[in-house]
Order: sequence, then C-alpha cells, then structure tokens
Amino acid sequence: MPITPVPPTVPSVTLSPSAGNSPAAGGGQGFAALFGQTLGSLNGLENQADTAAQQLASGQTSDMATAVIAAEKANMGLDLAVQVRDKAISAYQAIMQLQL
Amino acid sequence: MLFAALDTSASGLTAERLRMDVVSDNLANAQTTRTPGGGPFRREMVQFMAVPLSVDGSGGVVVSGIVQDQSPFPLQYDPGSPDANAQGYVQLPNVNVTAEMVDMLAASRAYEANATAFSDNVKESQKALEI
Repeated sequence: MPITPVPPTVPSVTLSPSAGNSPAAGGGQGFAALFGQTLGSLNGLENQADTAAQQLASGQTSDMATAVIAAEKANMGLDLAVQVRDKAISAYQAIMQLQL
Repeated sequence: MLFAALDTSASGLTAERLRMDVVSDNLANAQTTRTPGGGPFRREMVQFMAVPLSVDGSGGVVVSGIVQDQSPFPLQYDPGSPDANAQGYVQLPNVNVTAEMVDMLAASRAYEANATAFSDNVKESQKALEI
C-alpha cells in the first residue's frame, strides 16, 4: 500500500541577504524619520509662537500667557532638536572610531 | 503632540485670567442701577468645564460660558432717585463686594499656582534633555 510522506512541520530557517540588511536599513530609516518629525514639529511650534506674538502686539488678543507659553514651547523644541542632533553626531563618531 | 502637558497649565492660566476679568467687571458695576437691557446690573459668574485627560497628558479646563447670578436684587428706599419704582425703592445690583474681593484673591492665587506648575513642567523637560 502506498505510504504518503509526512509533510515537514518544522519551518526551515533560510538565511538570505535581505533578512540581514533590513534591520540596519530599517534602523537608518527610523532615525531619519524621527529627526524629520522633530524638525517638522519644531517648525510648527515656531510658527505658533510667531502668530501669538503678532496677535499680542497688534492688540487682537489681550492674553499674554498664550504668547509667552508659545515662545517657551518653541524654545524647548529647539533644545530638543539640538540634543537629538548631538546624539546622532556622537553615535556617528563612535562608529567611525571602530577599528576594523 | 509635542509638549502636550504644557497646554494643561496654559488652559488654567487662560481660565483664571477670564475669571479675574469677570470679577473686575462685577466690581466696576457694583453700583450700576441701569443697563442697556433695562434693570440694574446682574452679577456675572464664569462656568468652568474640565477637558478629559488624554494619554499624552493634555487635559485642562475650558470656559463653558459666562452666566448671570439669578439671586434677587437688594432694594433701597430712595424716592428721589430717577430709578425708583412706584413705591420709592431702587433696585441695586446683587454684587457683594466682599465676596468679589475674596474671589479675586482666589483667582490670582490659582493663576500663580498654574504658572508655577508650568515652569516646573519646563524644568522637568529640561532635565530629560540632559540625559
């Protein structure tokens, strides 16, 4: 009587070049996207601070707190962008100093 | 949203500023016996409504309206006044100056508290940047 072969249930591990490259490529993509997002939100905060200061100076609003708070948020956004840039540069330098 | 928790303190500052403005209006009109709509000045109050706190830390308060106090007007007997009614009584505004002064103190202390919370929040974020 014919014996049917048992189908393999254990998945075989295949090593392919794409599996090795995608984490590094994904990591590079992820950090560039993060930095771009930080700059985009920083731009938004700066625009809000400008608008609030203009409204206060032209007398359209009498709420001083909004203008000062928008300026403070823009300042903190700039600090954040500078720190992210510093970390990226120090990571790059650490990699460049690796002796291969 | 970046720095969403700072908007909570910002909304508190705006709300307390509006409460202070309403108290100033009440004090300025504490003796006003005639208004464009007829009758004496009616005391105004602000209504605050809470914004539900969300996951990114943004909540706060929003002013849902400025309502008028419906308590009755005090009467003063002054038949010589042009605002006197048939019995000689003048309706005065229902503004209690002492209560308004206490409200003003509460509003300014709340404003200071919100400003302190805001600056402490900023200091915390700056500490995070030093990591």
